Amino acid sequence: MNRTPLISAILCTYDRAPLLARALGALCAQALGPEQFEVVLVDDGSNDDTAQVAATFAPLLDLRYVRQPNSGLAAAKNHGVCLARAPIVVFLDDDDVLDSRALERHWLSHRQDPRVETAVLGYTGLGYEQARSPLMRYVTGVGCQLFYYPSLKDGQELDFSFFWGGRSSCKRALLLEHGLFDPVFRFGAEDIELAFRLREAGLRVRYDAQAISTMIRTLSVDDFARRCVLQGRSNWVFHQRHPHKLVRAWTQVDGVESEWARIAPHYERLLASARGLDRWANARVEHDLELDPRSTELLHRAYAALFRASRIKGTVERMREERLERHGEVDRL
Amino acid sequence: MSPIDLLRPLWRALPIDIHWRQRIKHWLLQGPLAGRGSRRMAVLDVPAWDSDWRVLLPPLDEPADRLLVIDWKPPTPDLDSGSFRLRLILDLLLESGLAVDFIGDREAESPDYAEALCARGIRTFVGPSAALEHLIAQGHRYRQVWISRPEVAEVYLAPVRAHAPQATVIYDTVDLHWVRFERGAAFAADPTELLERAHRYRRLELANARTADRVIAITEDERARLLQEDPRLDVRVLPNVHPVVDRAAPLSERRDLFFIGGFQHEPNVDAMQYFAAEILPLVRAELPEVRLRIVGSHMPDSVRELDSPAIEAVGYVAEVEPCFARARIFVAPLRHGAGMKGKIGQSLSQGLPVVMTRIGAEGMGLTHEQDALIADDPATFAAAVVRLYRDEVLWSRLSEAGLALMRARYSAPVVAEQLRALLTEPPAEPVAGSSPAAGTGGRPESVELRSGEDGARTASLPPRETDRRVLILGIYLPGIANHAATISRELLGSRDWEVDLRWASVGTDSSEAPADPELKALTRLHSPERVPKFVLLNRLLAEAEIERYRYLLVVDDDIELSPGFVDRFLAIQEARDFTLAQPARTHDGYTDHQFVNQLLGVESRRTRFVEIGPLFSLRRDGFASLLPFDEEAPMGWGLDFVWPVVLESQGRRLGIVDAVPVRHALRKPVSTYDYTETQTAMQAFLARRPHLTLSEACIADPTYPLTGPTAIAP
Repeated sequence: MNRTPLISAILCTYDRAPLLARALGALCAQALGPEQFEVVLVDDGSNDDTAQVAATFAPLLDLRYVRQPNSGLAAAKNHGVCLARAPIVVFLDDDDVLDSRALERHWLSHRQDPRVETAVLGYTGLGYEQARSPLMRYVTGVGCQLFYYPSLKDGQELDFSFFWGGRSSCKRALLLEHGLFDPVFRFGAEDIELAFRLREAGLRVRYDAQAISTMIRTLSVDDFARRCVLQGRSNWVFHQRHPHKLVRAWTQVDGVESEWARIAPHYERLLASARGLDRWANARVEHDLELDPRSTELLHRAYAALFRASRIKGTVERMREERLERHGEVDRL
Repeated sequence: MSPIDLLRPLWRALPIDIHWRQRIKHWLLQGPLAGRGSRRMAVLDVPAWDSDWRVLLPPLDEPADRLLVIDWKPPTPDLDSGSFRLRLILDLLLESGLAVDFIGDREAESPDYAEALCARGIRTFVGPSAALEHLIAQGHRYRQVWISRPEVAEVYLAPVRAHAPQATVIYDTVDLHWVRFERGAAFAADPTELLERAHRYRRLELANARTADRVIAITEDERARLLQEDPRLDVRVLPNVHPVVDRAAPLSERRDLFFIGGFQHEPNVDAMQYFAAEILPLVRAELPEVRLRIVGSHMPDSVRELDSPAIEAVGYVAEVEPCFARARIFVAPLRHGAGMKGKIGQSLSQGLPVVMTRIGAEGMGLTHEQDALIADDPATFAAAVVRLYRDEVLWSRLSEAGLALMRARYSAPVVAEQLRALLTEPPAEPVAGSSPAAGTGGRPESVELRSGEDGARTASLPPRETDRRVLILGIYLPGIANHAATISRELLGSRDWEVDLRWASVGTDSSEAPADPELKALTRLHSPERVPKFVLLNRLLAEAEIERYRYLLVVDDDIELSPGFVDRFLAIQEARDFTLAQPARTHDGYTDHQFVNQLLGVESRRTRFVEIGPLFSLRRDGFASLLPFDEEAPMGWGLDFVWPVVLESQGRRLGIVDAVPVRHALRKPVSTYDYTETQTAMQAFLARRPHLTLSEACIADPTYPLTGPTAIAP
């Protein structure tokens, strides 16, 4: 084995070869030399050119490419952690590109606070195209369903709920000693569920606004609604595993069944409204026209309602599936 | 319930308007108070509304079966051809049995126009606030919403999408304004201003079109133009509608030239000035008695001042049909403009022949000499007028042809059919998200289990006759719950291996339950005192001829194995050439080391760590260096950090098999002996042995991906 690297970048990917190439390209341009960090690329069963992209970058980086049949995000991350050799691991997403100083910043932050239970959260901004998308701006700057940065201050110490996947780093020893990801979470909540367990070990998350990455994928309303459904499903599982008041608050599972009973007949309508307004907003942005405040309010309300409804939908779906599994009979509601 | 939950209804009840609500919320969430306390919790969604579903969920029992038309004002058909067109469309909609409502963004010139709509059974709402209130209350009732004109669509598209999301939105361009402005620039006093306006309107009209589900162009040319700009659009042509007379009034009673147009529309003003200055003198040189009659609303002074012996500038006229019936020629000397010219259609449908420019003829499918006379420069135009004025045969032919064309293309029954198709054909599916929502590494669908070949399984096993013997040693505690009997049945069920299973029992059995007879038979050693695990194992080993066996497996009594465990596990250990191996542990059991938890997509991994329990397997090439077990670590603690050093020095491999994990959920580890004492013993033991640290030991390299189905849990 080579010299132990300073930091291991764990990058899990699924069917996003073109974006992955950009993510790996950014890793080639790090201020840290290629001998100072390693890249563990976990291919979660891609059906596209992911392997070729990995092969292209292999000579340029200390890169290990491993492939697994599709098993979900938590499983892929665990795979990466087991392969990592550095004392610090940073979890990256395949649709983000790092600023050239990002890895160095993660490493420096850990050097400044070498306590094993301190993790570091970096900042993720939006790429040029994403910053023009009304939806992306909403979920990162207004509703904050994707990222919650506007209210954070550089250096701030945060609780477990900020150990966000794809932009956080921690000591590998923390994971080896206190917990890995629970593979029951195929998408959503896997990071916060782990962080909740690590909280027992005293996990604190320090925000480093200089450890910058940029999101380079634009989600559509349908993408984001599906994402919220998956998040809702994971929230229920999370809450079942840890019936703790903090988890209840984070997962927002209280009263979802009665709320869903009201919303369910209107879900298509909420979806149509958000799609229609999003289409309006995108068309205007595409033609360099401003969005007036009243219509923007309607747009944001439609987004907020759809995403909330989708999360609740996911939670209730999972809840009912679980009941079915338990009773083995049709749940009539 | 948290205090926030208690405050929420109070907050909702406060009589504050939405702008202030948002400001206060923003300040609370992001202002100085928000920074209080160093650790804060992320809330998943901070809604842009106060989470009150009532405003978003309309009654379910009211069907969406109405049609809403939105235009800048109630139609004034006697004032402008756009209104004339819309009035006829409204009539067609009503005739087809639709329930129609109307929103006018502003008042018409007189309340009579709104009343005329109400009289036809059209519910009418005028003004932006009435319009918005109506949309909020009744938006769910509309199957279609028809929005006319770019400026109106700009204001109403968003509220319609918000309050009538179920409706198909039809955007009626009326004409392509940006094309009209572009063309007008050449004739304008301030062309820059007009070009800028054209630029803005182009963006506005294309954005409106993109937002709508269906776009109406008034001519085929304009449809093509829209599609050229944005091929994603669903553009339909709906031309002007014209009631066509059966027979034109006789020629004998006709005289003079005629023009009609709404003069708020700039191209009409230009046309009249141009005609008066450059064409009419040429006509009058040949036909001195011929005059031009100009009719139309909003006539500016610049047109009124044309009034002279040659020109009669009339202005607004309530009844226009007699004007068409008395005139001999309709002139349309338009130099710019866009869309379909209502006045020309109106003239042709009255049987009055037209002399026009190419711009005037645009979009109507007119052929020079066949349905009309088309001429662009003043001299040709004037010559055409003179010729048509004098040639009665030509006049009659053009009059008949014009009527026939109008009947075939622009009469009410023909347009009604186009309108029906436009309203009933389903719109193209909205462009949904293109990429999967799963995000990094994830996939929303369920696990796809590959049924392909199991690589390790098919790897060749050693010859059955000579070298397929496995010695399995186990220790159980008969005094407490254990799985020893079940484990025995599973292990002895091996099809690939000849299993020699030997148990040692430790402690006394205080339970009344009868011992399993099979287990009893397999128990070779019984120790009433608590003898340490590895001491017992060494005693069992002493009675066995270990070299006869290819593998030694050591099992605890509190694990659950999946069916076929031994065969699958050993096949993988064999294929991956692991001298020492263990199965991974399932995620739902107790774990001592996170590192050994099952990796879902992985068959096995080479590691520098194999735990001393609850199950490990040592191949014959490791016997010499590890057996008998080092009793200086009596409970075995620390051995797992020493073993890799010993085996790696001989070039041997260690590994974890993830494909067949064991579940360790019966007892918590260290529940039957003292933790601190054993921990101290381990530190002392490790101090005397070369060993790895946890971080050094817990590294996998390489991992082998799973190719067969995963046994997720026993």
